[in-house]
Amino acid sequence: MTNKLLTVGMAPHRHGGRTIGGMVRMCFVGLLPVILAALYLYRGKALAILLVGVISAVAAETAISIILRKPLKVLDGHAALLGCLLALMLPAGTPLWLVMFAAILCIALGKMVFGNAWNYPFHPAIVALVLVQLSWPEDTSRCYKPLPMLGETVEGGERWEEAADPVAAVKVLPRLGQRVNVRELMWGDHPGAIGTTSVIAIVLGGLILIGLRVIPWQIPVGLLGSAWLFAYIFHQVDPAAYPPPEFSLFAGALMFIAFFVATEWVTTPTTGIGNLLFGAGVGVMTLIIRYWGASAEGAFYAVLIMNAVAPLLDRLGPIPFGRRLKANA
Amino acid sequence: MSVFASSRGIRLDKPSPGHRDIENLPPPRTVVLPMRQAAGQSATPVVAAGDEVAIGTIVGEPADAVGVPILASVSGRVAAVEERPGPEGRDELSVVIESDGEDTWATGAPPAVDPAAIDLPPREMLERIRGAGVITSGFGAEPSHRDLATAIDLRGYVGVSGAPVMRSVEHLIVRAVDVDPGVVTLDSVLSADLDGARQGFEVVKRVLGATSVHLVLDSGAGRGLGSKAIEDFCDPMEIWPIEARPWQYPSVNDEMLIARIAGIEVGGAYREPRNMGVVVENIDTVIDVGRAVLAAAPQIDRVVHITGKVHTPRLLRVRIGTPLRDVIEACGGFKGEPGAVLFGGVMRGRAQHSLDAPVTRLSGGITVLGADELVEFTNDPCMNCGACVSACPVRLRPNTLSMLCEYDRFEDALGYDLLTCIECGCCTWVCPSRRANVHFLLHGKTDVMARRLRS
Repeated sequence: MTNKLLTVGMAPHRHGGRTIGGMVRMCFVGLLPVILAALYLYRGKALAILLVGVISAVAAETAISIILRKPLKVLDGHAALLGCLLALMLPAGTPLWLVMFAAILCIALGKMVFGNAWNYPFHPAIVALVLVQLSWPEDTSRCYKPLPMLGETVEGGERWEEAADPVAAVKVLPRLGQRVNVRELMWGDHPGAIGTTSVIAIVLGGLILIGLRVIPWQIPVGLLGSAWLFAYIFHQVDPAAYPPPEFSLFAGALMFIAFFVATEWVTTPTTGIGNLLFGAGVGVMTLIIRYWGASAEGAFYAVLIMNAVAPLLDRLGPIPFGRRLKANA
Repeated sequence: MSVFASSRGIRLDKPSPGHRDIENLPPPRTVVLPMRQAAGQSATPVVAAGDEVAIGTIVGEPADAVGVPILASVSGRVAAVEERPGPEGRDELSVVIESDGEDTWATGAPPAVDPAAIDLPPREMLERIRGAGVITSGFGAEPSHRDLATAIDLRGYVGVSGAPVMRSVEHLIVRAVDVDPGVVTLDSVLSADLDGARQGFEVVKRVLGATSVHLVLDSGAGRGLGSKAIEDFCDPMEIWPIEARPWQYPSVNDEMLIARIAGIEVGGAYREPRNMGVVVENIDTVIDVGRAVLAAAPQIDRVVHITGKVHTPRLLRVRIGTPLRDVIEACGGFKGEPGAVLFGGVMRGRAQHSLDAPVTRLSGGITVLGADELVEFTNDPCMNCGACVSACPVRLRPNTLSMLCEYDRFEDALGYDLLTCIECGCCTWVCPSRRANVHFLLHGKTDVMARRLRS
């Protein structure tokens, strides 16, 4: 028998094994198809934006933690994840200094200002994105035609041709939305931000995350369902003025937002019904802004607005045990 | 009927089928009998050092009529009456008996079963249960005669002595599967003693007058009995067998079983299931109650499943009061560096600081964790992921509650139904921030209940 002292702790004496770092790593696994699609569509340009975004975000968090004498938590990968998400939502024509600036803004103003403790009210990447979009509108909307995912590769494909994001184009000329090529939208063969165009990669990554139980299924389902319904109704009312629902869902950043941004843990409700309503709010708000607002892409603002509503939605939720008398009634 | 539907809670490893025979541990050299073994006040020792005692001799008298006497579990000489480490981490006043190895019974011989006793009126049965010192197994458990009594205490009103409130018990739910799936004590107890279980069921049914009786069984490999044996056991006595999945933790918890079977959600500190027509008992208690009534046999031993980092995990029938050290030695000692020794399983077990703590009715299992198996709870800030909200079997918000209790905002926490918490530990198990949520909730509950008792 040993004379070593025994450890006394509270039950439970085991843990399921999840860590913050582990959950962030699982997010990267879900993002992998999207990153690969981005690298395929925009090659070196995407690689540069991603690298600059991730490295600046990590560097910014490290620096701020050291300056403010906060515990250094950069190894949990969250800064890298935010930088990566931000980079994927920027178009290929964004100058790299702006990517770096946005990443620093994301960490400094979006996350670290609220303490090093997962306490921010708005999604940091969206905060940074909206700020740079408002401040440098030309630089953040310079999209290129991607390398075609379907069909043959053009020889000497490094000649990048500037083209308009379909969502922005529809904002100017609503009838453009009538000629929707769903196949092109699905594979990502249309101009846009580097990570948000390839719907197939996004859905694949999103399903991985739902399967790993990293993100709740309620948010994507509520978001896409409500957006589809909203777009469908308006398309039926006036097909000339409002694009069909496929276009609204697959073009622009809505798909990416639905699976990777609106599902962020800190800024969303925690209950099932809260998440469903949160998703529905983002979906409807996006289309309201796209149809009648000043901005072409409404999804970012929709996320910000719903983040502000999230604490309120969090109040909706399961009724505690015993509050209703009959369990199965 | 099954207990499958619940998707809340967490999924643990299934108990593995294995060596499931119950072996008798010979009486140890010394037993330590704490005077506080059940919830409520502790008993007063009525023996002094040097007294000779036999099995069944009363060594501690209860303070009041609802308490239960503490009986000697070995024969021998009282070595000391002093403070010893108890099973709940505190030192308890205990009677220490040095065994003479003879196992002489106070009544002369181990009593025989008297089938006629089954016709006794419930009142006398309860008196026999109390006299045999039967305590319901589990932490914070009541003496069994209180648990099974149909009339609850005289309810005093202002200036009026009050009348006994009779309650009718509709559902009797007997659990033959442990809440913590790492431990398989209850299932083995049932398979080993079907006759005893049959008698116990008869007695408990009569005492309670329960109209529907349910037996909760493991539905997987953890069950010792085949479905034919279960059918033969249950059908003649009109028991409903209920298949449960203990690895779907905490689906066989009292509250969960009552919700599934009786359709009543019991929540909060004051809504006791037995006041709502439901009684949940463990099968080992039922067997002991049966023996107490039919044979006037004192409750002197219990079965414990020793699992984890010991050389030979075993199921042992040990005398109440056997120090942990003896039980672990009987299992070949620790395998590797021991980290923690728990009474109970990993999800709800109580860590012991001393190997001198005795086995009592509280401990259905003994789990030994290696030094490398210990988890550290860093209590990082909550990241609001909502994992605990979807895991909580009683539909609370452990995230909010744990933060409120962390900052001692107990009154705010009460608004989020703090007292409904069943302390299952699911919220802590799933937390990626490694917050000991259930610890914070318990902290709050303890404080609130203490303040209510004072006022």
